[in-house]
Amino acid sequence: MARIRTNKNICLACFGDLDLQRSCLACGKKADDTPSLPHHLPQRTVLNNRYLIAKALGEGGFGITYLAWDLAQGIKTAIKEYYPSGYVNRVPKSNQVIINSKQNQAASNRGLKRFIDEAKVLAKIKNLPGIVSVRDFFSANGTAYIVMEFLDGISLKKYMQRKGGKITADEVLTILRPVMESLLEVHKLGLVHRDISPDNIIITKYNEVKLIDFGAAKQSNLDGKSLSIVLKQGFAPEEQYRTHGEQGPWTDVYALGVTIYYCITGKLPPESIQRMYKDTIVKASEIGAQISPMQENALLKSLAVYAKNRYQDVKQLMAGLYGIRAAKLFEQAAAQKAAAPRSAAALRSDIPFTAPRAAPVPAPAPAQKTAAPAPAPRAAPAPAPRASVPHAHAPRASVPSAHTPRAAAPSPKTIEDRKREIAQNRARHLQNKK
Amino acid sequence: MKILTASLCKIGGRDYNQDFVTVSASGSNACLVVCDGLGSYTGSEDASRLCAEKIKDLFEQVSEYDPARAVKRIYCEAYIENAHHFVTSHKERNPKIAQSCTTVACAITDGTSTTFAHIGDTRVYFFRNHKLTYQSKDHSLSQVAVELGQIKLRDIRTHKDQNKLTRVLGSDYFVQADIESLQKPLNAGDSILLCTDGFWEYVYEEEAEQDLASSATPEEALHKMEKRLLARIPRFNDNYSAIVAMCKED
Repeated sequence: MARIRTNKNICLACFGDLDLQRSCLACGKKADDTPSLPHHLPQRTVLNNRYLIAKALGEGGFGITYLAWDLAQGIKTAIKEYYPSGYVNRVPKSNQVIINSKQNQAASNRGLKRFIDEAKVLAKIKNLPGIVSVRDFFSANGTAYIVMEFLDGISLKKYMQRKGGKITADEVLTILRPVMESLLEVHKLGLVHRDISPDNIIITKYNEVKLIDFGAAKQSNLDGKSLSIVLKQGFAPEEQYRTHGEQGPWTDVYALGVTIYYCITGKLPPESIQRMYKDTIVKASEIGAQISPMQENALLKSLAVYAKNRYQDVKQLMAGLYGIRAAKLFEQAAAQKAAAPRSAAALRSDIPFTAPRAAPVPAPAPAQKTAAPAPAPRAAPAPAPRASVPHAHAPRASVPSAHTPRAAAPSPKTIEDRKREIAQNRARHLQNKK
Repeated sequence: MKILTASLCKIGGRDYNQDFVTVSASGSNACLVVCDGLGSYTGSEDASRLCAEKIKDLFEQVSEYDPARAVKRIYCEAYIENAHHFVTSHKERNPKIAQSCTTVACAITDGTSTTFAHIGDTRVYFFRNHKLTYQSKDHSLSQVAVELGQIKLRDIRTHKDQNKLTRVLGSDYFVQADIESLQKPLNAGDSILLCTDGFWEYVYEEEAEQDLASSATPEEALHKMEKRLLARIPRFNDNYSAIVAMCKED
């Protein structure tokens, strides 16, 4: 008996079919039908006739991010809903988002407009390896939604915590390189991220590093006087605290500087606004960070309180941070070119970046790039993703190719494959019953 | 010398009371904590309660074994950091209150050493012989404007950015508290006042001096100050909380 697939009987964990006992025929998991929080979209809501909401992934001051299945393509997506908490409420059942009081109307509408503008610009910057890509955008329920690729991984903050609270400068610079390269492109479009922090940098299980949460609208712009609010602590440069502060690439340079500082020391520097009158910043190397003097100088320059003393764009920052180091890496790559392929030990470690030196950096080796994803991706998934990170070191021209293994990896199963798999599972399931 | 304390924590004109006050005092030992959960974020009443109780618990645990160290600066830093991690780990288990955070002001003393710490716009005042000698600096945009010479200190109360805080406890990243240690031991006649913004906005520093000087007990002083506050508050005013501690001869 074939059942019709509806939003009620799709497994939210694997997109397979649920049986009458609500356990999945494909993955065997039982459906979790616990109701979601009242201000979130309920589980199994279908948005725009296409996206099936699975669960909320996170919530910020300006929006809620959901994990959703794209019903047309059968893949996971992340959907961000504009929902400025404290300004709007959700009507139960209809899911409409309404502004909770007249005095918040203007502020909320301004925020919504900015959200939509941001989405439009973001749509232009597809295919940058260091930035989460936007797939779709639509309005519904009285608010707006941005559909983005789903990133399966952990944030840089969590990664750092798992490695004992701090990581070395070499490591963090390796991680951040693709992000910085992509930011260069983003800044060329006149867009500023404004909210770079270790929370917003995701390391996926395919070893890509991606910046998320673009254009988080600044809290200071939503005016509401009576309730206390907190401004982004630590990562914002002084111009972001001011209402008319001039923001630009240098704003992201400061946040990148703080991100590096935080990663290598485990501590935040004093907030920029306080440093305007009492600068108590301590050099990273003085509190136990491993960083070369050259990198330290570059870091301090990126952390300058006033924009005019800072690097003006990411290009200058990268020159300061990687200058000599990049050259060294290319040298090493050349030296190791003749050496044997990656050792088994390197593959065994499931955490990337532990030994950036151990992994050769094949800068001018396009042949290897095409070779990397070729050997049976399912049997040995390690080599392909590993390759993607060192590639990020390579000059810009090679970046699109760093993207290719990923494009193949997350959706290796076509819908046909999955259907076949589900059918097999169902057969097995029935046999077991007998 | 002994320390007498009195506290109040009232809802004001709001629907919820997100302030939390806790006092642990015996003889000349005291740990006073006032927290003010941020009204814009759901669940901040939990954050303020957890933070205040954690600091008090830690102080009591440490002072049971090592009373001299329990009031040291580095221990005070550790209490605050621990409280932060306590609040954030609680938040991780309760996604409903994922946004919540709180301000904190605390004073710990054993009579000889005294340490004040604060994050956010909850204030610590210290009066020596009924004269204000220390006042904590808020972590708000208005305080920055004061430091940059744009406004006067007492104009903070009416400044537009007074509600915009630059530091809080219990958000994504831990930020250091501002910590101040008193060089001299406490004497009879000294008093400490810890209060949230809902309180200090309506009670001026010189009035607090007067009220402390003219009162025999901390309850009386607090009552006088509350009276001033009640005469000034608008409708729907913020929660207000305060602790007064007075040093008296035995």
